[in-house]
Amino acid sequence: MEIFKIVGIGLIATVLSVVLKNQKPEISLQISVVTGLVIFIMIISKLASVVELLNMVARKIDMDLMYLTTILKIVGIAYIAEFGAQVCRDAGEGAIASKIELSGKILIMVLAIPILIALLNIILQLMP
Amino acid sequence: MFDFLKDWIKNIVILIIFITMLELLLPNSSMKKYVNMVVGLLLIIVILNPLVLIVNKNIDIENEVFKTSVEIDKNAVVLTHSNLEKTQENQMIQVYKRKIEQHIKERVLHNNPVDVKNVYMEIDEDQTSDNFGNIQNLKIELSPNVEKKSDNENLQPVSQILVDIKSNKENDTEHEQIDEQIVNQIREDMAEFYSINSKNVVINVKQ
Repeated sequence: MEIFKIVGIGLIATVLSVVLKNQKPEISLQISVVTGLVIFIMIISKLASVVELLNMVARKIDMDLMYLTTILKIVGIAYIAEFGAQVCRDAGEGAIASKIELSGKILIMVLAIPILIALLNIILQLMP
Repeated sequence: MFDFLKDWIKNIVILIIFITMLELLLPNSSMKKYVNMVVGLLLIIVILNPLVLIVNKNIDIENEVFKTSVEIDKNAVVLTHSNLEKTQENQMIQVYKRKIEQHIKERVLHNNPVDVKNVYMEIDEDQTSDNFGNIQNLKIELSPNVEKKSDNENLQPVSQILVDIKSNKENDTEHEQIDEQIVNQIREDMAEFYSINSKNVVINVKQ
């Protein structure tokens, strides 16, 4: 049962962090960052299997793979940027977190712009 | 005709199911807006696809998308490439300066009985100008020849400390005088050899 492990780790880390907060705030900060990383690593293998399954289904039903890879790439960028930003925000660095989010948004836009331009081209060609 | 309709509807339905699944997976954040936008664009493309095929058979959406993404990659490569060129130019100028420094040092050392401590220079770094690479300002720091000094020190016995200091001072003033004579010679030599205005050659004597 994965969820027990994760909740257990989370609760223990929370108690430790709260106990240490008054004496050594910097250590409690490190505990929270490391706990976040551990939970993320534990869950990311499950996420990978889900994504793999979606990929397999898409291949089976013969959907255009281009759309799927684009969507999955965007979701991956969103996930990783979100995670990094949250870790930074936990550490009290809101400015760095917003920079990470900004770069994630820019990378998503880079993936989105070709689709946008293709759509524009199609619409222009539909109207002769 | 029927197959075509079936394919079309199947594509749309599958894509919508996919999107709902992915929205469950997504972290609830500001990223969601952007992901939704891209996904919506894809949905529009899938819906428009058969209409395009009816009007114009030559169009290939994947090709279009690929073309623009290649264009973006190309621009990125060009940007990094120009950065590379700049760093290369800087390195080239640095190496050039170092070579000239060495050359000046060797030339001064060879012709005059002095030590060269430092050589500073400004060169024309504008590649488009005709004078690219010419020395604009030259500053040389000289010091009295170390070898002679050490010879003097070796000659004098250690016990006579007071006398030692005096003699050293005398020696230094002697060297300074010599340097004052030599400085003009070096300046003229440098100005002539590197074709610099002799006003821009500054020579300091350090003790």
